[in-house]
Amino acid sequence: MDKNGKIAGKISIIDLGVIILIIAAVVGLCIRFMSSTTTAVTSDETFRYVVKVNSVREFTVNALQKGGITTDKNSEMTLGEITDVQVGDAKMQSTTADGRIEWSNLPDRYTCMVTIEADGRESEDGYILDDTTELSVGRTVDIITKYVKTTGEIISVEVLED
Amino acid sequence: MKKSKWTIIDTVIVVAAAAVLAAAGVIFGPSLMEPSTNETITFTVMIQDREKGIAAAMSEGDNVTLSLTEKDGGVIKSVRTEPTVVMVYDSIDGVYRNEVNDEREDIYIEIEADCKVTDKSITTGDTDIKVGADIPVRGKGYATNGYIIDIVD
Repeated sequence: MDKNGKIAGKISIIDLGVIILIIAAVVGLCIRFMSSTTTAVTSDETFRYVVKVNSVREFTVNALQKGGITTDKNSEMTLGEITDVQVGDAKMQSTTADGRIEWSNLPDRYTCMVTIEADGRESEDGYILDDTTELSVGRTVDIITKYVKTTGEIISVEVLED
Repeated sequence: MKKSKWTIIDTVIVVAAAAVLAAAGVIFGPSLMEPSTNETITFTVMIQDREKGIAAAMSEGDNVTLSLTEKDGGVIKSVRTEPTVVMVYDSIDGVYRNEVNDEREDIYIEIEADCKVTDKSITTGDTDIKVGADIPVRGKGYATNGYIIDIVD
């Protein structure tokens, strides 16, 4: 460092610190967004998955049956499309006073099996949608369309043949 | 006049500014380019299980705020109430049934708002209008929140 505080007479130590900070930020962003799931991506695929939406009221059923495009939580990215909605009575397990286990219908509540087809990527570790939502049986996911926002559990996932 | 020299720092600043512009384009570009229409949308908000009398503070024609940021609003078109219905468990028979609770009420408010409508969403300002969404409703002298249960578009 010379008498003016510059290394090799060209760049000051403060300037060097700024450059190192910016490089560190860029590297950090790359590590953050280039996760092991995406770096191990093997192929683009179309998936069909079924989400069980439990114990919802009729207005949610009606909104789901309108179908349409499913999106991310900000309603900006198109993820897939609802292709089918099967509706049944909602049931809940309970124990009676004399110790019996009963499966009882919940009045005015319904369970919907919502089938969604969506594009995503298959990796060594599993399946993910374009917004990095992991498609795994047992995982709780949001279903967001133009008309409805609800939550359910994935009960099946399959890769569609081209 | 002394001729200015292009330094490494100048290059870093230009690259950083370009990166910020690119990021802004990625984040905001799709929403700006998506086709949309401005429409007046009517939707119903259900406010569950409230003390009797709260609905009396609400009137047709009230201007209400639909977000916590006081930007997004609408106008009440109608207000109606029904006794609260509670699901209870009968442990003797092992069944669930609905029981009416006459001391509490559910409030149904029909609201009309100017919305931006696209293929993916209906929004008034920054507030999403979707069935199942939790939404605050604040008017002059009352503030509460409920769930959107119906949209007429």
